[in-house]
Amino acid sequence: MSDDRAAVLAAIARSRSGTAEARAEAAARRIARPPAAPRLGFVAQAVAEGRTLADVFAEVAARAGATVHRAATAADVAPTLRRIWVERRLEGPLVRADDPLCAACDDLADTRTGPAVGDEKVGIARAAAALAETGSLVLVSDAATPTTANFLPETHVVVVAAAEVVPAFEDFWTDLRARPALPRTVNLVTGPSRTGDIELTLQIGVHGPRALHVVVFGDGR
Amino acid sequence: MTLLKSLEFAANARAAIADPKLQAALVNIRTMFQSGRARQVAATPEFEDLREAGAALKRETLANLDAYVARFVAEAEARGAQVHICADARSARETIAAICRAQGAKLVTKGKSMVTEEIGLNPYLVEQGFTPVETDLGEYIIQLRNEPPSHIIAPAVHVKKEQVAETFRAAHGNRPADRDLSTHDALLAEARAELRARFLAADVGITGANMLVAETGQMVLVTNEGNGDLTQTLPKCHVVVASIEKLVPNLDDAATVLRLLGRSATGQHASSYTTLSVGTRRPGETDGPEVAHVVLVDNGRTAMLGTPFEEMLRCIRCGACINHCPVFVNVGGHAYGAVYVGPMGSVLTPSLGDLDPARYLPHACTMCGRCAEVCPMKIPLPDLLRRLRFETHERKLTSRVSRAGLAAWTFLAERPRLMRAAARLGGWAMRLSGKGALRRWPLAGEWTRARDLPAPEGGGFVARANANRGD
Repeated sequence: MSDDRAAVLAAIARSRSGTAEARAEAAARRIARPPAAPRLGFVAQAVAEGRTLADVFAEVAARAGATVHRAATAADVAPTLRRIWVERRLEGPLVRADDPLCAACDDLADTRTGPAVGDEKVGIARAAAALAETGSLVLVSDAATPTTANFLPETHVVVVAAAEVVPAFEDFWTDLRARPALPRTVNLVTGPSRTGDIELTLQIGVHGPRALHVVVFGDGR
Repeated sequence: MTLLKSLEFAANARAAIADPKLQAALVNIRTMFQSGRARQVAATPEFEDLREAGAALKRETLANLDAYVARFVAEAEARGAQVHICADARSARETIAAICRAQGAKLVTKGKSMVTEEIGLNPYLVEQGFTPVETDLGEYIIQLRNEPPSHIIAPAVHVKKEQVAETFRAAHGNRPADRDLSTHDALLAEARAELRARFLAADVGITGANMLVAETGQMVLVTNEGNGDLTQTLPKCHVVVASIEKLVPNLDDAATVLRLLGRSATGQHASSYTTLSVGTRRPGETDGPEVAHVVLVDNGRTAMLGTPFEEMLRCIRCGACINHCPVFVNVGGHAYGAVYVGPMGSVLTPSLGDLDPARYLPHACTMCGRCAEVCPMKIPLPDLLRRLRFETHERKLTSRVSRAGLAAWTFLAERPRLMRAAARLGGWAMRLSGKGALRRWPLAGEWTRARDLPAPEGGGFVARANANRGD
């Protein structure tokens, strides 16, 4: 196996100004303290007008094709999940996060936790956070929430607390950096799977889920 | 660069303009991508500030590129990835094939990746006994049709729905011959079923990367279909292939690029799936790859550093310049005969390789400037194209007639008296030869073949300027 590492790094260095040490120092400084970049003002503006981050998230996520359900308290999550199951005529197999908040439909279907194997019709996931700016759910890989369960099922149902909604990417990065170890995978999920690859006509559900339901709970709404 | 057929640009373009199916497909670019971007930009008052920040962060990355590459390598390797840096296409292809061989792989799934097109990976993998399967729907369609992509984000934009149906019938022989493939839904369902089986059976998954984050060693992958995620999560081994300019310093920089990318590319405020991943599955995790490799590709890029073409290395492959190019939306991608098409391709193709086989590409441009106006990274594409035109002239890659014409013009332009006399003589000759419009004119055959040349009226510019000064 060839590795031209030294040659390529030397080729870069030849065209750069200053010493390699100075560049390493400049890069380390820039990584540690990036300049403030513009953030989109509409989130802060909506909050100033009295709306909550969860409201903004719900609106943007719906625009991206997600169906958003609100549950006033954590205790209301289970009936909401069961209502979605019945109304959407969902069927198993079900793969769900190993989290009590996602267990409401266990008696309705052949249910498993752990990674998805490919025949699952429904996945119920637990998000680590959500981004108001983009309407994205933040799904982090760990033992209780494997990544395959976010992509293989036909219907994806994600549970997130209103208090877990943050304004934008940078706010979640702060949480990510504070973790003792980076997870292998962080998925920012914004609406269902889609494609425009045939005649640029928007179609939903190509490889990943055909439908995305989000249950936002805990803010009395 | 593989299969460069750019020398036939003029003939390709003529054929493309005469192809009604292609012309019908290209209309979609104008209606979908141009208007989609315009809507997003109108709804984002911060867009110009984001462009400034995007260009600045990429300039910074390039200024200290060796340091950012080194940091990325250290962070990714600390999390279980093996990083390979490859100087050229051959080295990259061999490295990837060796990884597949070490895995005992047969079936290799692929997420959409332009750099793997650039290095000619698929034909090489086939030659080495592997079966690469493209999983992006557009890439899958053109792989079955044995065609190159015609657009960097919509690779099958030139293919009509009926042609997709024909392609699927020919490729999926195990399905009932009389099945209905007349709708988008039917085509989608069939592609989903066919590719689902491949995702689950693959031994190695290869994806590109939209960004590589030096701070964390993560790669950032943006898709709408979710194919990149199934490709990188299901097989035992994940290989990321990315060119060295995909580096960004830090996660905050990645956020800036993400805010620009979807809006510029497809007119989305965010794509469906944005994934940050690094290395192998962590202790306790139950899925994700157990083996992870990153193949960083140079292939001509370090040679662009320190030249005016360094600016091209800010490109994030959004396709906005392509979607807004009046040449591209009339001739489509295949006319360029190259992997990268449109304005970014006409700069990148000759910059990465040799100008000679790509010498017509910088001329496939009207100098209208829209590409620079929409570029999220503020790359001065028309300036770079003009510079390449200059180089084709300097290196005598242009026609003898064009060089002689420019030499004659230069001779006159340096001698104002002679220039004025020649202009008077020329104007007089043109007025004599045509009443209002000229159907033909020596040395202007390419111009007059498609349109008339207006004959000059009244005095020349200098005569008028002198007359006005007298007022």
